[in-house]
Amino acid sequence: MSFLVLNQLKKAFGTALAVDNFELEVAKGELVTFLGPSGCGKSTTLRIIAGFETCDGGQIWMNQQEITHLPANRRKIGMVFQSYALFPNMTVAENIGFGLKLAKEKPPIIKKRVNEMLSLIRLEVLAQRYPHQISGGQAQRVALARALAPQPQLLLLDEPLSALDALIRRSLRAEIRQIQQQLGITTIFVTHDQEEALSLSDRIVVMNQGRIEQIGTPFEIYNYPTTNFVASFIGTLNMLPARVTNAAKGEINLGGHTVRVAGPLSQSDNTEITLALRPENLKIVEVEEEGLSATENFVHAKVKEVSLLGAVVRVRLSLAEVLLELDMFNSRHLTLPVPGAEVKLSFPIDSGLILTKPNTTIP
Amino acid sequence: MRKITQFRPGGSLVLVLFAVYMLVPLLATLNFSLTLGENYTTVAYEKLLRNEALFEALWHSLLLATLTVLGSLILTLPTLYWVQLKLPQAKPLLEFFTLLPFIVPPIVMALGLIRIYSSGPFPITGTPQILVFSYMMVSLPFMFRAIDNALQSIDTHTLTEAAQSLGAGTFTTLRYIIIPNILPGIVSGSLLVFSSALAEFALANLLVGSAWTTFPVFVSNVGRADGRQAAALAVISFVITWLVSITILWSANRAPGQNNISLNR
Repeated sequence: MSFLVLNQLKKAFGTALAVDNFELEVAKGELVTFLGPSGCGKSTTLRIIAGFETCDGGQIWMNQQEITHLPANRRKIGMVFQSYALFPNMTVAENIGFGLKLAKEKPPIIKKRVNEMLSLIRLEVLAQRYPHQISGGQAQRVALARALAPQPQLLLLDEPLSALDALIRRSLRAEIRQIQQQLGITTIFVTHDQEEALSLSDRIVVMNQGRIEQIGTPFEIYNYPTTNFVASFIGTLNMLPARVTNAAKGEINLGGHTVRVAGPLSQSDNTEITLALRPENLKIVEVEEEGLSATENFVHAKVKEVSLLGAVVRVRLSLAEVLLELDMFNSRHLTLPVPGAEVKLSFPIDSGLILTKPNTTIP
Repeated sequence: MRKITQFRPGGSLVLVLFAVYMLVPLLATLNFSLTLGENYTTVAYEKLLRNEALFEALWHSLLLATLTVLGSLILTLPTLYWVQLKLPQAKPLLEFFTLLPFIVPPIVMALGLIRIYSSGPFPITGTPQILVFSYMMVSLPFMFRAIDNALQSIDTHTLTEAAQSLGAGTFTTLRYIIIPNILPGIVSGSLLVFSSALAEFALANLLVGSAWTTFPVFVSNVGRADGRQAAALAVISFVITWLVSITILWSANRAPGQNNISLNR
C-alpha cells in the first residue's frame, strides 16, 4: 500500500477553488514534485498535507493512519520553507536540535543527532553561528537538517531553492536529492521551476488552476505530455499554426509545406490546428530532399537570429509567416547559421504534438 | 566611509539643541532642590529620606507599575499574536480600541470608572486594583504599538509554522520562538508602560487618592507644602526610572542572538 494517500482533497478560498479533487498516492522513499505556475494550488496542497491549512473535503492518509484532522505539530512531518524560517534567536546547532528538544530527547542524544545532521550538510564549523551570520545557501541546508533531525515520516519542501542564486540552486538541488536518497525519506517538493522538477523527481505532478494535469516520471512528462497545458508549460515549445489537409494520412499544411505527423488525425480535413514542436527536435540539414520521407519532414526556413546560450545555440527562424526556434548543440567545429540565409529544416514525423484548444487532453 | 566620519556642523547643532532642551529643565530642578537662598544644601533630601511615607508611596508606585506592565503584556502579547496569525481582519478594530485612551480625557475616564466600579459585581473604586486595570487601559497604546511593530518585523507566520512542524504547540512557540525574537519590542513597550504608570497622577488622585498614596500623589502633597522637597522628589523619580530602564535594557541585551537592543528598534 502507498505510504501517503491524498484522497479527493478540496480547498476553496471564498469562491476561488484552490485545490480541486486532488488524488495522489506516494510510495515510501519516493520524491514527488508538485509543478505548476503560481496560483495553481501546489503550495496550498502542500500546506494541507503539513496541517497548516484545513481542507474542505477529502482525506489524507499517512502510513495507513488518517491524519486529515491531526494538528500540524502532531503529524511528524518535516517542512522546509522558501524563506528558510530559521529561528533568529538560536544558533545553527540549537535550530537543528529544537525538534529533538521538543520531543524531550536527552541532551547527549540531541547533541549526537545534531552532530550527525551537521556532518550530513557539511556545516560542522558553523554550529555556533546565528542565522544572520550565514549565507542563504547555508541557511537552507540548516533548515533541511532541522526538518530531518527529528526523523519525520514525510519531508515537505516548499520552493526551497527559489530565494537562492542560480549556481547555489543547482548544487543544493543535487545535495537535496542525494540526502533524500541516502535517508530514503518520502518527500514532496513544490516548485514552479520545470528544470528543478525534471532533474530531481521520481515523479512529477503538473498542476494548473487547482487541478492535476498529469502525473508521470520526468521522462513521461517531457516527452509524452497528455494535455496542452503540460505540453506548453514544460520545456520550450514552438506553437505553429497549421491546417489539416489529409486527416487519414496525418498530413497537414505548415506555412505552405505539406508535412506529416504520426498516425491518422482525429480532426477533420481543413481544421485549423496548432503543431507543437520542441526546438531540439528541429535540425538544419544539408540534403537536397524535399517534402516528406518515411520518417522525417523537410521544410524551408530563413534564419533571423542566432544566440549562443552556452552548451546550446538557439536559432530563430521564419517559416513563411511563422516564427520558430531551433536548438543545436554547441561545439568548436560548429558552423553557425548566418542571419538572412535560407536553410532547410528537418524534424521527425513523430516529434510534433497536435494541439487544439488549451486545457484539453491530447488525443 | 569618509563621509560618515566627517564633522557636520548642522547635525551637531541639532544634537546640542536637543540635549539643551532635554537637560535644562532637569538641571534646573536639580539646582532648585539643592539650593536654599544663596547656599547649596541637601536639607530637602535629608527631610525626604526621613519620611517613611515616601518609601511607602514609592513602593506602591513600583508595585503598581510592575503589575501594569505584567497585565498589559499578558493581555496584549497573546492577543496580537493571535490576531496576526489567524484574524488579521480584526486589526483595525484593535487599533481603534488602542486610540480610545488618547481620546477620552483622564478626568472623564476617572468619573466613568467611579460610576461603574463603586457598586455592582466589582466594587473596586478606592482600591489599588482599579488603578492597575485603568493604567493597563491608559497605557495600552504604548504596549500595543511596540509589540505590533516587533511582530511585524519578524516573519511571525512562517516561524510559527516552522515551530509547529517540529512539534511545538502554541504556548511552546510563543515561549521559545516568538517572545525571544520580539524581545526588543516587549522591552520598549514595557519601559513606556512602566514609566507612564510610575508617573500617572490624575487617575491615582481621583480613583484612590490618599487611601493608597502613590508616588506622584505623594509628590503633589509634598509640593503643596514645600516646593524644594517636590523638586528633590522629581530628581529621585527620574533616577529611579532611569535605573529601571538601564536594568531592563541590560538584561534584554544579554538574551542570545539579540544584538544592540535599543528603544529605537
